[in-house]
Amino acid sequence: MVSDDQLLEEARKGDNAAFQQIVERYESLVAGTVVGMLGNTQEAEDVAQEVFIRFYKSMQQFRGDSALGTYLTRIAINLSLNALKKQKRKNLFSLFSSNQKHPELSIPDTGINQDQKETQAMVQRALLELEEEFRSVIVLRMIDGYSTKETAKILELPLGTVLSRLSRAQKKLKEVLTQSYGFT
Amino acid sequence: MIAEHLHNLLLKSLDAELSPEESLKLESALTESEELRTLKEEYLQQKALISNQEFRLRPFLATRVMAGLEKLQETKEWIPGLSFAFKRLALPVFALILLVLTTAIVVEQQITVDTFLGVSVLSIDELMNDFIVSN
Repeated sequence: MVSDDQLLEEARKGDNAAFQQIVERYESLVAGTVVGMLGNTQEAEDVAQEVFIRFYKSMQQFRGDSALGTYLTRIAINLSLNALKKQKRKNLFSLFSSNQKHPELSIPDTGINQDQKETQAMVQRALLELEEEFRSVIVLRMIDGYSTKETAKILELPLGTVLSRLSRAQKKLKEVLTQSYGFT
Repeated sequence: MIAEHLHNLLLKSLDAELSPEESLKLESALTESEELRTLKEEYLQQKALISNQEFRLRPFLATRVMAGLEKLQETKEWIPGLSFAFKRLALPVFALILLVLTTAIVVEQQITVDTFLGVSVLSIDELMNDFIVSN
């Protein structure tokens, strides 16, 4: 398998096929972050696309201080947080905003059965109930599988803050899953 | 009530981030506290529930990204052309405007919109006369 460095080198020289391979390689990682943060929405699709476009633009400056996946996750989390801020502003200033608390989710058909689809929707809705600062920690730790230290580095937070947010996020998540969705 | 440091150890243990000493400390706390054991069980359930989900986007993201990049490159090619044309045209056009303005001021000895547009010498009567004569 071609290494990330080799693909990057080719992509930097203008080889679009190499860049496409990078996208395919990290698509699921970025999907985990943006869908975890924004749910299966059109906005998540747009943000995921934007993540790679941003990376393409900044590819020449990427020095490889962190792993490529971590770098892309950082872009994904920042763009998701920006999208959430925009959403909040939009809801605040929109006189005709609907009473819908969260956007409509549309789980793609990826060969999963109806039960799995429902569980997935339940988990996504429960995540959307969390404040962004708690959601981001849960997404990085439990969906993307980063360690506490890596999560702290990506979010540029002290380790203690990440641990305390994680603890509060898990309590809140338990409440939401139990009260709203009857999960035991 | 679970002490914060034990709680943190429990959270770190979920991703196997404990040193041997911390592991021993947590093990002994788990043996002593039922509350901590229940909490661990709940966390593990939660982690399994979330990490077992497949968070996916619509298919063909790579194709969409590449199409987006193509558009971006097209725009990139178009913008320098436009900026080159602007650089070439801006100075002569500005010089022309200055020339017209200076001429108008020198001829009319005043600055008005009419002077600038060169219509100050025209009046409705003159226009009507011209029209009648020409017909």
